[in-house]
Amino acid sequence: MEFPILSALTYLPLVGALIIICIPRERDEAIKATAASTSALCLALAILAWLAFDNGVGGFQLEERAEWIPQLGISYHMGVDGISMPMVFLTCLVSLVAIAYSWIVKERVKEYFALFLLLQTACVGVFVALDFFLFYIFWEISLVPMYFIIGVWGGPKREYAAIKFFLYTLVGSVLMLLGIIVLYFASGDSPAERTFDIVELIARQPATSLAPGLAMAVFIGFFIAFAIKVPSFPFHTWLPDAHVEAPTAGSVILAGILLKLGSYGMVRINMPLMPEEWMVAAPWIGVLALISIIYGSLAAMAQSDLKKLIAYSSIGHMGFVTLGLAAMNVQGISGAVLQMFSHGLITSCLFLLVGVIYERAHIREINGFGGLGQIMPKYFGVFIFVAMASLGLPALSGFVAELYVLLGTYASGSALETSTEGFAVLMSPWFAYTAIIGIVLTAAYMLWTVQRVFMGEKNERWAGLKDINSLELACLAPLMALTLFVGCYPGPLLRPIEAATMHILGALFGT
Amino acid sequence: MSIEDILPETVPTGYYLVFAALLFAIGLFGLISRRNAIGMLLSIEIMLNAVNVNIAAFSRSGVGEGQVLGQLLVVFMITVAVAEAAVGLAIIVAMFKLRRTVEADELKLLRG
Amino acid sequence: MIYLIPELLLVLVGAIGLVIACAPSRERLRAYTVLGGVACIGGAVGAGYLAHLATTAEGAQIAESAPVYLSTTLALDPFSRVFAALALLVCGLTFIFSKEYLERRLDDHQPELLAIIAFASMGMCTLAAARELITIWFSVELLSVCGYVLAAFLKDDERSVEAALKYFILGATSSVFMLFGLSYVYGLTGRLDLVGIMEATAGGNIGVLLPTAAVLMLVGFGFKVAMVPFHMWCPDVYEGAPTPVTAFLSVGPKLAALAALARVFSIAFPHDTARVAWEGVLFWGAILSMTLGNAVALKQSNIKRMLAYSSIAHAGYMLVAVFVTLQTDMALAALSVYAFAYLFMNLGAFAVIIAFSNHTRSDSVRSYNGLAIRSPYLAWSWVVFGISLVGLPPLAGFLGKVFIIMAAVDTGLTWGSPLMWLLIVLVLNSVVSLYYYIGVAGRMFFKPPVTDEPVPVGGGVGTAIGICLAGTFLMVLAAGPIISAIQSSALFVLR
Repeated sequence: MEFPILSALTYLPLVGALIIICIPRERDEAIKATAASTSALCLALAILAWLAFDNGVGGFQLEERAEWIPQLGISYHMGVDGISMPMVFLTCLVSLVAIAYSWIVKERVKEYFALFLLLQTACVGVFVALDFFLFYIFWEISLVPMYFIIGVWGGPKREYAAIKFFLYTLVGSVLMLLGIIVLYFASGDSPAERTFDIVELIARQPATSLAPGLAMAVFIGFFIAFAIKVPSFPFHTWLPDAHVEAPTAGSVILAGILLKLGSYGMVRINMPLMPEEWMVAAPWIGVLALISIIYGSLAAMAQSDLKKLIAYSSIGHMGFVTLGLAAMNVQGISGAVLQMFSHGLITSCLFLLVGVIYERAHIREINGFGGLGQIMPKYFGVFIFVAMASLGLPALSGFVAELYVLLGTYASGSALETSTEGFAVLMSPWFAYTAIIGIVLTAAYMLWTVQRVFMGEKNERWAGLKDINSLELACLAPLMALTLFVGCYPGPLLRPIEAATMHILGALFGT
Repeated sequence: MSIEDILPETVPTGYYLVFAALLFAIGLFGLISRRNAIGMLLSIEIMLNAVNVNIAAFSRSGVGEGQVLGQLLVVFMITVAVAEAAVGLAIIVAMFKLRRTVEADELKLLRG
Repeated sequence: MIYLIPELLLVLVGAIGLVIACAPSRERLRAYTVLGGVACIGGAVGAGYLAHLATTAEGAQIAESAPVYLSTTLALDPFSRVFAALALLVCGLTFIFSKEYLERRLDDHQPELLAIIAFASMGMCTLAAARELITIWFSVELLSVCGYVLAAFLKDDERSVEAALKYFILGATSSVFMLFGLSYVYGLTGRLDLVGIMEATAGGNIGVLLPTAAVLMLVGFGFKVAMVPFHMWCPDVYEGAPTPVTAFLSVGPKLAALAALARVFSIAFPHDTARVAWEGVLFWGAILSMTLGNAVALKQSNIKRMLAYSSIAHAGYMLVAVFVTLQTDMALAALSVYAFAYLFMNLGAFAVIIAFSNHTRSDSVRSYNGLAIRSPYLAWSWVVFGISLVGLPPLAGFLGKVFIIMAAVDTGLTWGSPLMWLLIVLVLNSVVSLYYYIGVAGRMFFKPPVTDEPVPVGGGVGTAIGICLAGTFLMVLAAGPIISAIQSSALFVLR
């Protein structure tokens, strides 16, 4: 039997959390060291897994299967393809960064690190689970630690933000649960034939045997669950609250990983499981994505709180992911997945940078700063780099991803491309033109923010601020390096993504 | 013409049922209108007796095994009702010891 | 006869309690609590084995070849043995987590309290197994009368006595309504056994009186289950009764009555108008119980009252399974699975409350502020039970909810059918319930504590919490064997 590397990757953080529970409360350093080493080990395992993974093949690899509840067709099934592999890697990387950055936490250290490790288990679990039951379990587990992280270590309105986050996402997931069970019953006529296995369900396309109204209702249930998590307009209102109140590392995980669970669910479940409904809904999903892009960018521009600004910018950037998925062609979906990866890197950097300045100044008011460029030159440099990545400067990862999404969106609307690829016309080129406005707006608010925070008169109030220290730099460096690498040379990352995308679309359209 | 000629030889079951239903309604009215715990207990007993009349009447009109079942049921019901009433009275006594009243309107410690 | 062991064991445990009560002492009480608890939990395992035994072919024969006086009154089938296991578990756990409470809060008559709980649990067993109306009514009365006494056990506490008086008056009234219905069923069919009633009404043309009688009987069950609108007693009694008794009442009688409800109405009234009547009442009862229970629980300031409303909501979830009994094989399996899950998570939550109030003497939600610092074990246990009560994975409550949804979908769900709306109400209600369960958890973790003084957890109640935690986790993680056992048992119901 092969080494079950995905299970190891999933449960290693849980084991770390259990070890932390056994360590006495007072021994902070031991707890932090355990957490960091567990997380580092996970990253190493993730890299090993990727090395064992064949990038050129589209289907699921490194699969693990075991019986769990055979009476109900539930099995323990894990596996990764070219879409989930980068996400698993991203999860491990961002978690390690978040845990390393959390070295500064002094309050209730034991619970803090145990919860972060539990959160890592849940997120990795969602990305590798190939059985609905397992998927749903991990999906829901991810809510609990985040609730406590926001609620215990968060800002002044933390209780409100925490419960709002929990309630919003739970509404979506219970609708998904109903959908899962309806699909389960549609998957076979007798109990022995029915299954919760996602791969098997995609092959059987149970939604086609449902009554039309019910099929669309199931689709909407799934879509709402994922759209709340993404979050797509109009389900986004929990996000700014949660982000503003969450501690820095919590925001990093929330924006870097948890939001990706939603878009991952769309590409792994919503689209392949119910392609006909997806095609019917695609223009509407595209419209929602466009509203998210424009609205998120405009709202970001109006913010005076730096953290809230980045929260709204996330809504805009995640809009590109949804838009790419709505296009339902190779470029669109690959671009969307690439954008998920790239946004995970960039937005984590941005939240870390906000955390760095908040640790020192204890305010986040953009207009309260000014002239920081002279006081904190290294910080200024890093911020410029990340801001450029966020606004889509060529040679950085955001540019490649958004370009792909726009190409896919355009292709999805033009007869020229459809004739070569054989896909339906889902949207019009105008979707792509509109999305470009979003990019322009992003550039506007990012540059304006940089100007207000770093340029101008030197503000004497902040003269004593220390520049970014080596721990913080060490946290940021790998994320920034990857941003640059993917931006300059996206090939190694795009290859598995495209292979997986073609595999999914090929199964749906028979090409 | 004597009174025996007017009345039927046996009382039809329907008469009993109407009587029992009336008795039940009286008990229910008492239960709702009484505010004294003893009064309420008595009303419940009246309703129980209505049920007993019902079953006795059905038992008389039944045949074979069904007849025996009804009589059995009535005996059981009377016994259990006594046990229940005993416990109820004990609770009422405990209440009276603590509060010196058994008015139902005084039961307002538990609200929410 | 061996199938009667659960009942006999409970009678024995209760009788020993009465003997000890004649010459009470501290040591005897302790020994009785621990040994009785262990015996009941061991007996629960045994009852589970009996259920398994009875599912095999020879087992079924043994059950049917019981003496006539047994086989005509009690259906000793796998389904009823599963509920006997539940009754024994409830009884054993109640024994164990009452240990510290009895020592600290009661001055005398402690063995009697436990003995009465054992007798009431015996009533649970027979209620779930009863196959004719006298036994059913007898079991209901046994449960009720024990319940009145238990609620009044703090006889010097006005709240306890007031709770008992309310419980008694409303309970007696509901049982009279049930009897009134029963008398008409008997009059119309001439039979008291469930199958006989079904046969007598099989020809159709049953008039308007039988549905009315069925609904009147439903009132009695609805009261035991605390189905809205027969739930008025529930919050008051739960708040006033001694907390271990509240825990017992919130699980024991409710589950047994649900099992009996499913058995009685699906066997005796499967025809036409009678069926339409009771299914209609259950449909609306389920919707109202879920919605009202959760909505009112939101604004409770007493934690026992909050759990009272939450238990009304859980009764609503289980009524969905009862509602579909006649439409799918999965319904009884769903009911059994949910019953087990509910037992572990609800008793666990109550055990946390008992441990806390043993020390602080307070049941107000506010006093739970900062418990995570004072006692992490209690706080995290509450989180686990709370999340399970909401129905989130990977805990027992999730499995229960999945089973109920599956049972409902298995009936052939269509777009816009009443059942679809029922399911949507169900899942949205779980979201609402999150707010108050996790709201208390939020108090424990996010608010500063009133004092930093730790909350010691006694050995008995701590053990009970541990058992409930294990049950809550293992029901999903070790789901395969558990589910196959329960499912095969539930498929096997003696008519």
